[in-house]
Amino acid sequence: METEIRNKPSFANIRIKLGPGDRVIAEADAMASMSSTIDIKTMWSGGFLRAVLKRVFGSESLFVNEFSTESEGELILTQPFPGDIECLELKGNTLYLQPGAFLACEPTVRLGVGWAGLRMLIAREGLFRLKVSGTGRVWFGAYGGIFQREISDEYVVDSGHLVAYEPSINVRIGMAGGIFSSFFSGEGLVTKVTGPGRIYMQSRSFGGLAAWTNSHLW
Amino acid sequence: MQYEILARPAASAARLTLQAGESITCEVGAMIAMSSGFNVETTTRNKGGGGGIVKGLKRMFAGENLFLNHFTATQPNQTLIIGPGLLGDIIHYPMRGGTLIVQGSSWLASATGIDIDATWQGLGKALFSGESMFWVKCSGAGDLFLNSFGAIYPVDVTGQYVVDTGHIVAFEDSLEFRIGKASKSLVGSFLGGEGLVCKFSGQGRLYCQSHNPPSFGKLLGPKLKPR
Amino acid sequence: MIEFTCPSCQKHYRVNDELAGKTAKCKQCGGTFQVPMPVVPAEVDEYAVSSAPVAASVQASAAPIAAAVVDGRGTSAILSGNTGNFEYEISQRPDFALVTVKMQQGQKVFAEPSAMASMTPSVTLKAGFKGGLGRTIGRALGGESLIINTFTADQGPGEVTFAAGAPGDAAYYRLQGNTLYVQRGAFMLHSEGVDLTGKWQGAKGFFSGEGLVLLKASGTGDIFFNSYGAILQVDVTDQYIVDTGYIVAFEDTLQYRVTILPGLRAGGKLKSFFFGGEGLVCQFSGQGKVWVQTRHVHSFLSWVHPFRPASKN
Repeated sequence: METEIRNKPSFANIRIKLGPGDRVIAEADAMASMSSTIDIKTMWSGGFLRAVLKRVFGSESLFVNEFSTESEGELILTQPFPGDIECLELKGNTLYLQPGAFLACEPTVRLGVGWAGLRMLIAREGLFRLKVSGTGRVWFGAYGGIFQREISDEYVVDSGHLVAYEPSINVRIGMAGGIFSSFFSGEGLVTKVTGPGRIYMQSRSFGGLAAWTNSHLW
Repeated sequence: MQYEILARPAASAARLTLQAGESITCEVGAMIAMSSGFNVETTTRNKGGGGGIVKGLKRMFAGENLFLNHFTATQPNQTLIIGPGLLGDIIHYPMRGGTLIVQGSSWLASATGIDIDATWQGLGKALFSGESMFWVKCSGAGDLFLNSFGAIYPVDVTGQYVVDTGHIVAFEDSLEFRIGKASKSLVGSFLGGEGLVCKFSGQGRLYCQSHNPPSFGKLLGPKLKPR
Repeated sequence: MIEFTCPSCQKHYRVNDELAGKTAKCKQCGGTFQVPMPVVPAEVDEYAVSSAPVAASVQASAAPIAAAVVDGRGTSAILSGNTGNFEYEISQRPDFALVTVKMQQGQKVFAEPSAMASMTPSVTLKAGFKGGLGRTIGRALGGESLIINTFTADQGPGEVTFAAGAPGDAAYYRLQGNTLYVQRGAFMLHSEGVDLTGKWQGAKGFFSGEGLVLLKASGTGDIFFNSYGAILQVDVTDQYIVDTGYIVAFEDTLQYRVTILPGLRAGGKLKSFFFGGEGLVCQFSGQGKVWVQTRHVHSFLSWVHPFRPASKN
C-alpha cells in the first residue's frame, strides 16, 4: 500500500494507493475523493462501549470507515481543519494522542481509550486520550504545523499546542508563572512534560484561533 | 496578462500584471494591493463591464447586494494582487472555448471574454452539509482564476471517480455526473460520515479541494462568542 | 556552507560543504539523516510547485514592476539568524509560523498575551505593565491590551517559542533608531530597547471606523510581527495602494494617505457584528517597505458567523 502525505503542513492530506487485500481504517468524514473501485465498510470504532466513551468524552466520532478494494484504487483522506499530518510506524510501541488528532491507521494498529486524568480536563484537553499501539502505520494530525521534540528533563508546553506523546513522558498541569502572572498573562495553565521521551507539538491551537476571532467580534 | 500565484497552497494570492487596456473582473473585496495605474468600476446586473456576460449575479452572492469589481489598466505594466476570502489555494485555468462548471465560492476572477452563468442547475439541489450549493457555468476564452478551501488537486477522469460533494472545485462539462450515496448500505452512508458524493464518469478534468469549509466551521463555531 | 533542516523535527543546520552526503544524527530529535549536497539557489518559484497544470502562458515576472517590488519568494523557507541580542528562528511558514527565541541568561523579551507556545523551565514569565503608567494608558487608547508579558531567562539560558492565534506568517525587523508602524493584531514580541505605543499623532485618524489600530514601535532593538495569511514584503519606490485590512506593517519613511477608492466596495450592508469598514485603502508614496498580508480578517468573520452559537436570551 503506497501512501503519501501531500501539501504539508498547511492543508495536509493523505493519498493512498490500495491494491487487492489492502485495508485502511479512517475517521468518519475523512474521505475527500476516491476511485469508484474502492469499497467502504462502516464500523464501530474499538467496540461499542469504548466508542460511546470516546464520543462523550473525546471528540472522535463513534464510527470509522474501512476502505478496501478487490482490484486497485486511489483514496484521498483529509481532516476537518487545516493543518499538518504525521505518519508513525508502530513496532509494538504505544503513543498517546490528544482528542481529535487521530485520522487513520492500518488494521493491525490497536485503538484504545486511555484515561488522561482530571488534570487534563482542567487543561481543557478532555478526560480521555486515544492510545494507539501494536504494529503498523498510524496517521494523526493537528491544526498548525507538527514538529517533534525529544524531552530529557522538563519542558513547558501551552496545553493547546500538545498533539501526542510517548508513554514514558510524564505529564503534569501547572501554572505558567505566579498566580497573578498566570491569570493576567493569558497563558493560564500549562502542561509540564518530563522526559525522557518524545512529544509532538503543533504550532497553532484551536483556543488561540478562537481567541483571535473573538477579539474582533462583539 | 501575466500572472504569478504566490504562497500556495493556503495563503495564496494571484499577482497579475496588466498592460494598458487589459482588464479583469473579480469579486468585491478580492483586491489586496495594486499599483496606481488602474481604473476601478463596479459592475452590476448583466454586464461584465468588459464584454463578458454575467447572469444570475444575485444568486451568486446568495442574495446579498454585492457587486463585482472591474479593473482596467490605464498604463503599461500595472500590477494587481488579489486573494480569496478564506485560506486556500488558487489556480489559473485557461479557457479555450469549452465550458467549466465551477463551485460557487470557488470563482475568484476572470478576464474579458469569459461568460459567467450562475443560474446553472445541473447538479440539482446538491447539499453541502445542509447548505445548498450553487454552481457557476464559465464559457468562452480567456484567463480564469479559481480558489479553494484546501489544496487544489486535479484528477483526469478516464473511468469513474467519486468525490464528496463539498470537495468539488470545478469540472469540465464533458464529464457526466451523478449524486449518490457513498456506500451500498444506508447505515454506512449516513452514519459513517460520508454523506452525499458525486460520481463522475467519462473523460475530462476535475479539480478537487483537500478540505471543506463547513467541517471546519462546525468545529470552530462552538468556541466563539454567541451571535 | 550547506543549509538544511532535519527531516523529522525541522531543526535548522548550517554545515561545511565537506559534510555533503554524510549520514548524521540530529542533535535535537535523534533522527538520522543524510546531509544534502550544496545547492545553488535557482530562480524557480518554489511556491509554484503543485499538481495543477501549468499553462503555456505562465511567465514568472522577475523584473521589478513600475512602482513596487513585491517579494513572495521563499515564503516557506525557515528564517533564522542572530539579532545581536539573541538567536531566533521562524519555522512552519507561511501558514502556521512559529517564532523561537534563544536567550542568554539575564535576557528578556516582551510579548503579546497568550503568545507563548512552549518554553524551557529556566525562563520566568511575568505579566504586568511595562514602562510605567504612561505607556499603559497609551496602549489602552490604542486598543492594545493593558498587559504585556515579560519572559526572562533568569535561571540560565532559555528558549521560548511563540505562536499567534491567527494562521499566517511571521517576520523579524530590526529597529535602528527609526520607527515601524505595526497593525495592532500583528504585534508578537520585542526586545529591550524598543518603545511600543498606541498613542501617537495621527493614530486616531488612521483607521477610524475600520476598527484597526496601528501601534508605533521605535528605538533600537528587535520586533517580531505576524500576519493573517502570508506576508508579502513590498519595496515601494514610487506609489502603491493597499487595502487597509491587508496592511501588516510599514516603515515611517513612507508617506501615506487613507482614502476610499470609489467603486471598490460599493453597496452591501455593513456587517454589524464586527468592527468593520468600507473600502478604505492606503496610498503609499516615497521610499520604504510595507508588509502586506494575503488574507482579510473581515472575510473570515463573515464566513464563520453562521457557525457561531445562537445567543441565549
